[in-house]
Amino acid sequence: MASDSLVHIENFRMDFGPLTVIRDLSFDVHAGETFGFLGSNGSGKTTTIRALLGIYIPTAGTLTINGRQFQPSQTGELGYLPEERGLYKKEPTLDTMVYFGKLKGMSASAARAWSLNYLERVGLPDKAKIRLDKLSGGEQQKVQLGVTIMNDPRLLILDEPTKGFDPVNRRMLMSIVEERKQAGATIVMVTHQMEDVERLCDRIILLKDGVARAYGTVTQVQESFGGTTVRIESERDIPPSSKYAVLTQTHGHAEISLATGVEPAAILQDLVTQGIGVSGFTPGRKSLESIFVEVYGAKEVD
Amino acid sequence: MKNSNVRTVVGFEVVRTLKSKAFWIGSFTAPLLILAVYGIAIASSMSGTQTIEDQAQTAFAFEYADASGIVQDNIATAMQGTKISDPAQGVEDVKSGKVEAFFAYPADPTKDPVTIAAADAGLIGSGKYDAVATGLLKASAATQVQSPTVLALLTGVISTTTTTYDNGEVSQGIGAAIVPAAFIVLFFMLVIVQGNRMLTATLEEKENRVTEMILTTISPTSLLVGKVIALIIIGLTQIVAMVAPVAILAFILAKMGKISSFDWSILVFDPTKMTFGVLLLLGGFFLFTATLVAIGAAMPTVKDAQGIFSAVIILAVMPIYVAMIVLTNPDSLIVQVFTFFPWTAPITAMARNALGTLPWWHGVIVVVLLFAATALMFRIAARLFQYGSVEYTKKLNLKVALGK
Repeated sequence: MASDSLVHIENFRMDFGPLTVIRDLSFDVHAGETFGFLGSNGSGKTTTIRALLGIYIPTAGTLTINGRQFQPSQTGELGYLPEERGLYKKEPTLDTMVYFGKLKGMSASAARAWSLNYLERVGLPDKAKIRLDKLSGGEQQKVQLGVTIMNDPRLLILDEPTKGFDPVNRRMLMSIVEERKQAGATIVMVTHQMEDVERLCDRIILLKDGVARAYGTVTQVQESFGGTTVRIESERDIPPSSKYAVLTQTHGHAEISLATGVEPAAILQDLVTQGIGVSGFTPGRKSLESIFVEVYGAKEVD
Repeated sequence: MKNSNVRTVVGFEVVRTLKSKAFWIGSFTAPLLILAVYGIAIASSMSGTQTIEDQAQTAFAFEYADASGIVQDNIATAMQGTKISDPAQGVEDVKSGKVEAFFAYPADPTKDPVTIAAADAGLIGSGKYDAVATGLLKASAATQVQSPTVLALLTGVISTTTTTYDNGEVSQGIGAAIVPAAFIVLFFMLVIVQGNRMLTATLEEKENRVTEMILTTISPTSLLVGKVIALIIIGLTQIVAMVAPVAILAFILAKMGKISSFDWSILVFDPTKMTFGVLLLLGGFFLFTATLVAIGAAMPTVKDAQGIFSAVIILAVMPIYVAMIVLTNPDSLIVQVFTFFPWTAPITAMARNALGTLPWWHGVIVVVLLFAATALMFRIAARLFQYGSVEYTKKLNLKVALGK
């Protein structure tokens, strides 16, 4: 375990009856970093998080937060936004937030003051006494996010945080996450939004069928999935070639992965020779989206 | 277990329930309905009694023939009666409308009925003939009793006082059974009134998808303990809300002399019976709470849980169906089985405790069994809650959950 590990998972295995969901999974999340936990549906991400938080008892392995198995008494250090969202729908917004604040160790008055301030910030100051089931889905998501971060936790675990958010609220949510990151919080983010991962995450892990397929910094993972890629903007589709593989191609935007030893300049020359007008040509590393598609297959990702 | 979080859960659950209009509507509806029905019944009874009295005092012309020699002519005359000798004539006089009724008293009215012929006054109104005919006979008979004491004995209520002995000591009688029996009523009300709330206590978290967030702030056991304490407080509040209006009305009516006041001095608070009563009540309540919570945790929705819920409630009240055997033959096999099977034990053992047929060592065994079964069910409930509550849409695989 690295000395600065806040989350440590080692040889984790999870069986449900005869079904093995996670096999020998090991990784660390360092204090202060933003960690992307990636995987297709059913790959075992939520199971891992539930086991980390003591909701599931692991079949084997060690899962610790700050050096010890998570206990609810550590709740003051944790903010958890589960994939399955929900609050006490028949209770007023403020009462629910204060309840969770108290469970997380805040005093009633502090929880109340924090909640009112948060509701003001996210544009819901008039919803404090309204029952949660009278709020729209997006408004309920905001309240849930508030409940998650209300104790200024050192560790934020966000399982599909943008699920159900419209673009405006998604931007607001991500700004709050960035704020927490700036404040020094460690963030574990389960998401399918590769833009967010590339923008926010320091390191990532890719899980498939309960097994880690890639783990490291974003750059390390990109490098591990092949050498150079080129993003091309052209007037028509890029034809197949033995010198590269077409990773993605839509409406004149393509990403190709070069074969070993092939230089980008040679490809550009080939395209010009073939009479294909090229308006953009950017060598770089394989995008996370391409890697994701490569690992899980286009059908599975859809 | 973090006590402050248990307190937080108790406070949240109690306050939100007591703030709910449905809770108070439900609490007051039952006693108000009882009071309404009781009031209507009293009014009907008073009205009926008055009608009968009115009928008895209704003056109408009648004829009578007396083969018994008991009827006093002066009394009959005062009641507008005229003696005749020919019964057939009396019937004819009624048919012709000359008189309203004719009574034919037989030679021995204790063996043969008094024959009445009368003008039809409707199903209820015709009752006056019977009242006047029998009233005349009784009034006449009373004049033939010389002793006022004998007359009082024949017409009044004879009271008795009984003292029974148990092992040479005066036994405590019905007064000793009333207080321990109250625990049965309390248990019954708690389970019936709170049963559905117990079942939905954790289903709400599951249906609302709150469980995962909750379980990172409080352990399942602490959450369940908090919810059970809240259920007890809510249940007792509801019982008070249900009983108080009736008790207040009874007190007011007793003060007004409309009903006879209860003699509280007959109540006996036997320490042993009281102790067993409290322990059986708590043990039974906790066991059913843990059982219903476990069912709720294993099922995805209230609808899915209702079938098993009904079975559990039937188990709780099943001893009522063998109440006569419990009363008359407490040593029978069925009563013994019901006494020691944890889910039928509360009512059976509490009934035997009230009746004085539960030996102390039986009581100890039952209490131990109840609390042991409760501990086991709580453990299972906590485990099922922990696993089942994140199985949002399907029934829990018990083998997987309990095998962990």
